[in-house]
Amino acid sequence: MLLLATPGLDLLDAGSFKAPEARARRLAQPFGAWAVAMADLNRAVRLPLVRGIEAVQRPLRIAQSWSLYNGGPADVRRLELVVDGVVRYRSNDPALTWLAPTLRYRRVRPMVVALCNRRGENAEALVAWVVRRARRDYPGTTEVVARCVEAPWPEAGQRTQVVVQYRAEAPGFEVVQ
Amino acid sequence: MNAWVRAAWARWVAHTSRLEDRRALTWVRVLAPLAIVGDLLAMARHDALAAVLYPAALGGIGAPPAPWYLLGRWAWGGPAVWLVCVVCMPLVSLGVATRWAIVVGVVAYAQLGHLFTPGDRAIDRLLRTVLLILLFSGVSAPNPPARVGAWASDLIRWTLVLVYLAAGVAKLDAVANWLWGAPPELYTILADPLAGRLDPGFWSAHPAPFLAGGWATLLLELSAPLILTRFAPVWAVFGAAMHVAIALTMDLGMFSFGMLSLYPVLLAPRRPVAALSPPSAG
Repeated sequence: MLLLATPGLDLLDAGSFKAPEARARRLAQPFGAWAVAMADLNRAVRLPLVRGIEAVQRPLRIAQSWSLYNGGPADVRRLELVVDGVVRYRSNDPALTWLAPTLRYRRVRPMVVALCNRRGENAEALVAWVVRRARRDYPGTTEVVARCVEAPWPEAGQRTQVVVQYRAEAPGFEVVQ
Repeated sequence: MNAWVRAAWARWVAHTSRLEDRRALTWVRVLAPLAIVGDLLAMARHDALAAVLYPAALGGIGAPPAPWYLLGRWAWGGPAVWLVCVVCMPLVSLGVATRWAIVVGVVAYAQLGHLFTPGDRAIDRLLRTVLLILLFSGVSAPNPPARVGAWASDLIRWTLVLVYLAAGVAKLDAVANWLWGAPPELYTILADPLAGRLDPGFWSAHPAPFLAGGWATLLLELSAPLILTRFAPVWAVFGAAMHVAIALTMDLGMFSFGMLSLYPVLLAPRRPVAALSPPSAG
């Protein structure tokens, strides 16, 4: 456990501060020598040992990696779901709660976060599911838009921009970004 | 040198052979599976059963499962592993066929994670790890003795030290934002509409609680090694307060309850670690 979950070192990978430019950049920052030394130690000693034993974690999903909530987002982000031009859902908006229980449920919420962070291969799967629910809950739907909007903190009085958007239109409802 | 090695080994054996009152560990065995069951039942309450457990053709989100998911050929695989978990976890809590319930339950719980990988979070991994520790502990025996090996509590404490310390160390990169940032880092977490419940507009005018919370969070997490000392109960009071605050301000589901289910081992009184005592002469 100590080997697999060494606090701090488990955030580093084999390439951390290895390239000369990245190394020089980090050395110029506070505690740079320490950080580079830890990355070298991780690469030379810890990671080879971790690779030897980490496979036992996979079948039972007991990976010992515990980087929990090291920081918040740089901007205020909200997911909006628009069905035929009407906003039906908006993150943490008590007036727009269509699908909110499911989208806020802890196992599904990470997919929403990944969509808004523009990463994760599951974004289209999530949007396709939203489309299927829209067609079920709002018969006659012709267009579904799922978009993530961002604004600088604290959002009120700030300019909001769409950072990622998926659309599905009748008749095929194929999800396109 | 030989004598030193033998003495050190003897102290290690004595330390790991210690017995302790079984009640704290029993409470973990009762509470941790209940947190899991609560989360699985919440899946139904949040209208997420179909979304998580079924393939896309049957109303699920249909995220591709991990290669270790064994029931991919059957549409009912997801509901089956969910049901097995819901049956096994209460058995663990009740102490009925405990070891079998843990083995089957952990395998099913892992399969649920393989089926829907985006939803398998750190708390799930932690609770599976703890259940595996409990599997080999005396508290899972058919008739548990009044005193059981303390090694299981020690392992759970060590795991919690690693969890909290890793969380604290991970925050050091942005330590300035945690301690005196504008906006404070804790504010951006609790007011993030994707996970938090606080209104970002209203709370932006009140940074003080978030700055104080940032200091408290960092102090708590970086002082996690206190869990291994006689100050563990005091540390646990502050840890519990942090998790209650998280439960009230964020939509993280069972995270806080899962963590708190492990706290009985922190609250139980214990002797100072024997290995740290000076060796006796001769």
